[in-house]
Amino acid sequence: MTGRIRRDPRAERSRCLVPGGERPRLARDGNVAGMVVSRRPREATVRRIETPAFWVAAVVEAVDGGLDRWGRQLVGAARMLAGTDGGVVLIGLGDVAGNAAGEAGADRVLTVGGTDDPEAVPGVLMDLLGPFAPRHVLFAESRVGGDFARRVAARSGWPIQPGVEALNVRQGIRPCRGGRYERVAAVARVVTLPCDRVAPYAGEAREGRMLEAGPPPASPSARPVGGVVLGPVARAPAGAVPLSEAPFVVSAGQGVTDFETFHALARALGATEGASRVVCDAGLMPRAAQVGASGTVLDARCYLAFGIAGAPQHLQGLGKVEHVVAVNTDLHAAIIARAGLSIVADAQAVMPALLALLREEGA
Amino acid sequence: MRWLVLAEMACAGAAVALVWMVLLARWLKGRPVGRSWLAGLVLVPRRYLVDVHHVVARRPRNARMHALAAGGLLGGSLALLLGVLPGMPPVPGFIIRIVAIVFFVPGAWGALIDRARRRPHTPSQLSGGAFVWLPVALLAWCVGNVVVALSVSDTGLHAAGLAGLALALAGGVALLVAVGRGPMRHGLAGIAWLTGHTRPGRFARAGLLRPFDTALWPLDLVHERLGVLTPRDFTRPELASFDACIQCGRCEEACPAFAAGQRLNPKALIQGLSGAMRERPAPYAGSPAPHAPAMPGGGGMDAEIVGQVLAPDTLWACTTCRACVEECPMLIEHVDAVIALRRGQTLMKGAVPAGAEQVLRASREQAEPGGRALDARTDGIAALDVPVLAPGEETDILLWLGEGAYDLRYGRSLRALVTLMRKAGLRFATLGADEVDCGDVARRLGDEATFQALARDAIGVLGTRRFGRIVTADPHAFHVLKNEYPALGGTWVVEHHTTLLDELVRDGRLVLAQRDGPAVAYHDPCYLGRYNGVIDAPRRLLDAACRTRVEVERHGMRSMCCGGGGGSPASDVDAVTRIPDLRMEQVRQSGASIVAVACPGCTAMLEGVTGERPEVKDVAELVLEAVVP
Amino acid sequence: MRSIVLLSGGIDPLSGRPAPPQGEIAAIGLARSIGGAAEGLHAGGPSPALRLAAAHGLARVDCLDGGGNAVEALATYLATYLGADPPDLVLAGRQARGGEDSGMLPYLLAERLGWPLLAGVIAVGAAADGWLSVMIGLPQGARQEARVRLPCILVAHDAAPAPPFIFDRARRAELRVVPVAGPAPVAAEGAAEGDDRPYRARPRLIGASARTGAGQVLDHPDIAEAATVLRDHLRALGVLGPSRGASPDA
Repeated sequence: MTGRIRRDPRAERSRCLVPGGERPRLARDGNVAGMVVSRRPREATVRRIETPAFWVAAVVEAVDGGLDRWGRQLVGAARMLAGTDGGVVLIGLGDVAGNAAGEAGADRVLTVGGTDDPEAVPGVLMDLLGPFAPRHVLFAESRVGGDFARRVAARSGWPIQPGVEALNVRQGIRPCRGGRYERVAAVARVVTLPCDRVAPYAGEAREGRMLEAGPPPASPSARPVGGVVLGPVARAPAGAVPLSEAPFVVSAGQGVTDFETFHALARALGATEGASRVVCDAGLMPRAAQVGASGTVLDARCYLAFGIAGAPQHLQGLGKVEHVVAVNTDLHAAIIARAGLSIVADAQAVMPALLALLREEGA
Repeated sequence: MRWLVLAEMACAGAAVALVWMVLLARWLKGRPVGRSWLAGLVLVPRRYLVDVHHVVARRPRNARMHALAAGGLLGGSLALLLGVLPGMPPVPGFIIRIVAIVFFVPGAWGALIDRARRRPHTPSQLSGGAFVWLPVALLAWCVGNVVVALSVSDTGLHAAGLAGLALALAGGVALLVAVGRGPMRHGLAGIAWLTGHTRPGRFARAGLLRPFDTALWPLDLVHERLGVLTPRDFTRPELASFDACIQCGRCEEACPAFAAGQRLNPKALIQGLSGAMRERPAPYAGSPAPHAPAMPGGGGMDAEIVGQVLAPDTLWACTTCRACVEECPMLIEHVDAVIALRRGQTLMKGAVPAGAEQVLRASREQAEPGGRALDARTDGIAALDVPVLAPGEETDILLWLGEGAYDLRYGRSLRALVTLMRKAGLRFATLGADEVDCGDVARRLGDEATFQALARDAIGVLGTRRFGRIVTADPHAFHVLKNEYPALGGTWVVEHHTTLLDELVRDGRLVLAQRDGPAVAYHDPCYLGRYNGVIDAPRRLLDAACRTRVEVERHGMRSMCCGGGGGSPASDVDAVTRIPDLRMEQVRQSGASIVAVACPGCTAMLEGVTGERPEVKDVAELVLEAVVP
Repeated sequence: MRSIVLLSGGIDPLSGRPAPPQGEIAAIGLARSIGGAAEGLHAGGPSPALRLAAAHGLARVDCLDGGGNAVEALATYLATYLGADPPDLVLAGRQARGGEDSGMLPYLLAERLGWPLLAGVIAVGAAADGWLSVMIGLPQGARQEARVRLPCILVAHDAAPAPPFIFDRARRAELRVVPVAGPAPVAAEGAAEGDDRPYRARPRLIGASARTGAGQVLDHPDIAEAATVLRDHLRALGVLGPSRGASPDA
C-alpha cells in the first residue's frame, strides 16, 4: 500500500450520476466529485500541524456527543479556508470527541458547556477565541449559531457575512437586497453558513487535539449580564404540534377506513396525524390535517403513510421530509418510489398489527 | 252594509299604505344611490310584466298561480271598492260588483293552487310557516268578499253579508300580517326594489331581450366604510331587495355550494339579511345553510351581520356563479350582496379564510395569486415561440394568457389555441413577463384595493402597446378585461378564444372535418355563459368538430358551476361533497364520454375528479383534432 | 407598555414589489399581543412597504429620514426623541428583506443601548417587576420559556402568529417623517464591501439532504412481520422511542 491516493474512475463516474439512476447529477459549478461525501476508508495516518500560520475557528453545536452533517460541513469550510498553512480550531458547544473532530478536519478542539444565558455568549466565545486571533470564525446559520454569530459580531465589531451560499478562499457569496441580488466579497471575519452549502472535509484526518480552556480572564470591560433567564424546554406533545412543524407525521389516505385504530396508533407512535385530500374532503379528518400542495407542507423527519397512493399534489407536501414510510396495496403507487421503506399490504390489516405490537411492548 | 264594505276596503288600503311607509322608512336607512326613483317607478310595470315574468314563466304553474292570486286579489278588491263607492248608480254598481266576483273567484282558485304546492308535504326548497296559512287567508278574503259583493244592498244588513264580511276581515287581517312581516311583503318590497334596481342594465331594452350587466362596480377606496359590515351599509334598493325575497327556493336548487353541502343557502342568506334589518325578525321556515352553526339572527340596522346572522363560511362558500341570480324571479342580486359583505370582511377586518389570505397576499406582493414568477407564465408555450409585445410595438391580436398558463394541463389547451391561430395565419403576441394578474380572484374575494392596484398595472401595460383586440382563453380574465376595466379607464375589444375560433371557422380560415368519436358535452363556464351570454360560439365549434354532441341537463345560461370561481377553491370551506364531482356526475348522466371545457378553472376542477370519468378537453383541443391541415 | 416595531420596508424576493418580511409581521403580532401602544420605526424615508406593514396593526410609523448611521439614528430616537415616554420593548424581524439583509440591526442596537436581546420569540406573556416572560420557538414544535429584563429587544420567530392584513389600517396609517441629522450615510453593519450582481440560485449539495428514490420494498409480507419491520425501521430512524418493556435487541 502506497501513500498515494489511487483514482477510481468507476466510482468517480457513479458519483456523477443521481443515486441509483442513470441520469447525471445537476452540478452547475462543475465541482461534482467534491460535493459528494467520500465513503472511502480513512488512511490510518493523521496530519498534525504544530504552529499554523493563522487560525480559522468553527463554532459548532454538538449533537448527541458528535458532529452532525451541518457541523462537519462547517469544519470542512474552516479547513478549506485554512488551506495548508492554517489551523482549524473547533469550538464545540457541548461535548465533541477529538477523533470525530479530527476526521472532520479540526486540528484543535475546545468545548464549552451549554450556556443558559445568551447574553454571556459573546464574552465566553471571545475569551476562548482570543488566544487564537482567528482569521475567520464560522458559525451555522441556524437558530443558535446565527444568534451567537451576530452577538459576537455586534460585540467585537468584526465584519460579518451571514448566510453565505458559496464559499472559497478568495470570496464568499451571499444573497442580499431581498434575495434578488447576491453580494460577492472577500471572506469576512465572521461567516455563517446555511446547511448543505459547503462540502465536509474528505481528506486525510487531522489531529483534533483536545485543549483545555484557560481560566476566563477577568476582563474589566465585561458587561454585567443577567438580562435573560432561560427556562426549561418543553417538547410539544405530539397532538399539539402544528402539522407544519411536527417531527413525525402518520397519515391516512383512502386505504384507511377504521379511524379509531388510526387515532389509537398515532397516539401509540407519538406521531402527529395527517391525511390526504380525499379523506379530508370526505370529512373523515379535519381540513387542518391535509398534507399536500393545497394543505400543509411538512417539515417532518419521518412520514408514515397508510393507504396513500401519492398524488403529485400530495407528494409536494413532503418536500422536506427525510424519511418516508409507505403502507399501500398498490406496488406501483407513486409514494412507493418516494419511500425508504414500503410495505405492499392492506393498511387496514397492518395498522392493528402494529398497534398490538406497540401495546404489547408498553405493557 | 255599503258603508261597512267601504270602511273595510278603506281600512285595508290605509293599513297597506302604513305598512309600506314603515318598510320604506327602514330601507331609507341604507346608503342613497343617487338615481331618480321617479324614473325608476315609471319602469316598474314593464319590469314586472316583462323581466320578472320572463323568470317566473319558466315554471308555468307558478306563473298561473301568481296571475290568478295576485290579479284576483288586487282586481277584485279594487272593483269591489268602486262598486260600493257612494254616489255610484245602482246598475253600474251592480255590474262592477259582478266584475269583482269575476276577479275574486280566480283569486280563490289561485289560493288553492298555492295551497296545493305544499300538499301533502312542503317541498324542501319551499318555506313553511306563514306560507302554509297564507293561501287560507287569501281564500278567506276572496270568498268572504264574494259573499259580500253578492249581498250588498242599499239598505239593511244581511246575516249572510255580515258573515262574509267577518270572513273577509279575518282573511284581510291575516294578509296584512303577511304584508308586514310575512310572505306578502314581497309585493310592496318588489315595487321598491324594481324601482331602484341596482343593475338597471339587466332589464330588457328595445331590440335586446337579454342584456348583460354583471360587472362589479368599483369601490371608492377613500370611503369611510368599505363594503358592508352592518345592514346600514347596503344601499337602499338592496335593503328593499332582501325584503322582496319570496322564498321560492329556486336559488337554493341552483346553488352549487348548497348542493355540495357547504354552509351556504342563497335563500337563507337573503332571508338572513332581511332579518338583519330588524331587532326581532320574523321566523324563517325554509331550509337553512347546510351544517351552519346556529346564529342569533336579527340585530338591527347597526349590528354586524357576520357573526350575528351569517356564519363566516357562508360568505366564502359562494363561487359567484350567478346561478341564483339567474333563477331569482324577484331579480335579487345575491352575488353583489356576497361581494359587498366580503369587501367589508376583507378590507375593514382582514377576516378572510387562511387559504384566501395567502392568495390575496400573493396577489398584492407578487401580482400573481399563486405566488409564481411572472416570467414563468410563458413557459408552457415556450416551444411555440410566440412573440412578446414590447412597449410601443403593434400587433393584431394580443393573447392574454391568464393564470391558467402556469398549469401544466392547461398548457396543452393553450398550445392548441396558439397552433390554431398560427394555422389561420393570424398575427399575435403576448405580453410576456409584463402580464400581471387581471385581479379577478382578488376582486371576488372582496379585496378591491388589490384588484384596483392590479388593474392599474394591467391597464398601464396594455396602454403602452398597440393591438386590434385582446383574445384570452380564460373567461374570468375575459370578463374582467371586457366588463370591469372600462370603469377604471381601460377599454378594448376583448374576445374569448371560442369566439375567435368560431369566427375563423365561419370565415373559412380554419377548415374543420367533423370527426366520429364518443359523445361530447359542453360545460359552460359561468363567466362566459351566464356573465356574458357567450353560449352559441363554442357549441357551433363543437358541432363542426364532433359528430355527436349532447347537452347536460343544466347547460347554457342555467349551467352549473365547476366550483372554481369566486376564489372558492382558495377559501376551501368545509363541504360534504365536492362541486366538480357533482358536475361530473351530471355530465356522466348525459351520456357523454368527453366533457368540453373553455376555462382553465373548469379544466382544473373537472380534472381533479377522481375515478372513472369522462375525459376533459378544451374546445380548442377538440377543434385542433378536427382541423383540416 | 409601549412597544416599537422596527420595520425595514422590504421587497418581495420574487417580484421586487414592496412587501413586509414575514418576521416583521410576526413582530407586529407580538407587539399587539402585549397590548398597549405599538408603533413602527423605520430608519429611512417613507416607503410603500411600510404602509403594507402597518396594515397588520400599526397606527403610526416614524421614518427617520436623513443621513447618518442607522443604529445611531435609531438609538438617538429611542433615547431622546421619545424621551418623556420611552419604549419598554423594541421588536424586530429576524432579517430585513431588500437591503443588507444581514439580521444584524437588532443586535447592534442592543449592543449600543446596552439592552438585553432575545431571538426566536414566538409568544409574549405578562410583564412583572420589570421582567417580561416570553416563549421561544425551537425546531419541531418545542418551546422554551424565558424571562427577559425590560427594556429589551426581541427578535420575533417567523412562525409567531401573524396578525391579519387589513387594508383599512394601511390607508389610515400615519407615516411620520422625522428628520435626523448626521454625516454621509453609512451602512448599519459598518462595512458593506463587495459587488452586487443578480442572484443566481445554487443547488444545495446533492446526496446530502432529502433522500429520494425507492428504498426497501416488502411485497405482501406476513402482517405480523410487516408490523415488526415497521416498528424496527421507525425505531432506527429515531422517531419512535425505545420500548418501555425489556427489548431483546436493546
